[in-house]
Amino acid sequence: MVNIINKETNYLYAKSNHEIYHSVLNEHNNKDCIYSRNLIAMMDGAEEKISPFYQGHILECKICQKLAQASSWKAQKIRGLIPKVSLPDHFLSTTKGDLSEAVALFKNREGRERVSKETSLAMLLKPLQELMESKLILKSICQGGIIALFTFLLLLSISR
Amino acid sequence: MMGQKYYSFAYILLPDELMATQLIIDSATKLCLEIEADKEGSADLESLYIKAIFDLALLRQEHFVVTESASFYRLSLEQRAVVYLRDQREWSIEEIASTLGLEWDRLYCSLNLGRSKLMDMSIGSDLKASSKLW
Repeated sequence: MVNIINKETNYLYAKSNHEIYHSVLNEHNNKDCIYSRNLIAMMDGAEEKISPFYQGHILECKICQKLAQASSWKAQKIRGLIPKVSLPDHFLSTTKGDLSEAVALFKNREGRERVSKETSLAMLLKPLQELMESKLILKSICQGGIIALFTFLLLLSISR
Repeated sequence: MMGQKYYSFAYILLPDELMATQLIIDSATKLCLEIEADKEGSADLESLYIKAIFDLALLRQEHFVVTESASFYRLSLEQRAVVYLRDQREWSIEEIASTLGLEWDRLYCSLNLGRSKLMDMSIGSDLKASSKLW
């Protein structure tokens, strides 16, 4: 341990390492550009267009040129990974009736498509009415079943 | 074609022909009822329809199991919606945020997470394919 401490330290910034120091520094400078992070943020997110300053900078800076290329490649790749969905052949025939019912709700008023209060109310009441009707049907089926059971039991007792 | 646009979005959210078709019909009906409440009527019909489809899909997703094998469908519903609208339909961030009713930070989070997951899965499958070749 003592030997290591006593050993003369060879610093990178020492005069003797002048050439190595500059080659490391150049390498470090070439790795990053102060504008690169902003450029990535611009290309990946919010900005619709890259500002003129950055457009000019891309022309000069090789690091940012590489970044721009990588970003456009990534965008293309992602676009390619999103599946293309085609409309099924029977889509129009199956939805025509239902969609025309929905479209009929619109009422043209002052050039805009709107729906009246009466139609909205009718739309809400329709499922309720259907439910009531289905309950009535269920009720009548139950009543019929009970009567049939009674008749069957009566016939059974008479036969004995 | 308008139908194609909406159907694609519905299918991206719930990848099943029947479910997507039903989503289109129900969203149209929902929209018809909601437009009455929107007194100003300033929002355009397309974004209102997209919003209606998105909201209904969010409600229905828990009863739905994704069987599509494409890596895109492994993203969450919100991520799929955001990535699709931004990268496929090229909507602006503002448009997506106002249409889907998402906060900006949440929108960015979904967009970036969705993109990076998609890229990771794609790179992973590419590596698998190349290792098979070797």
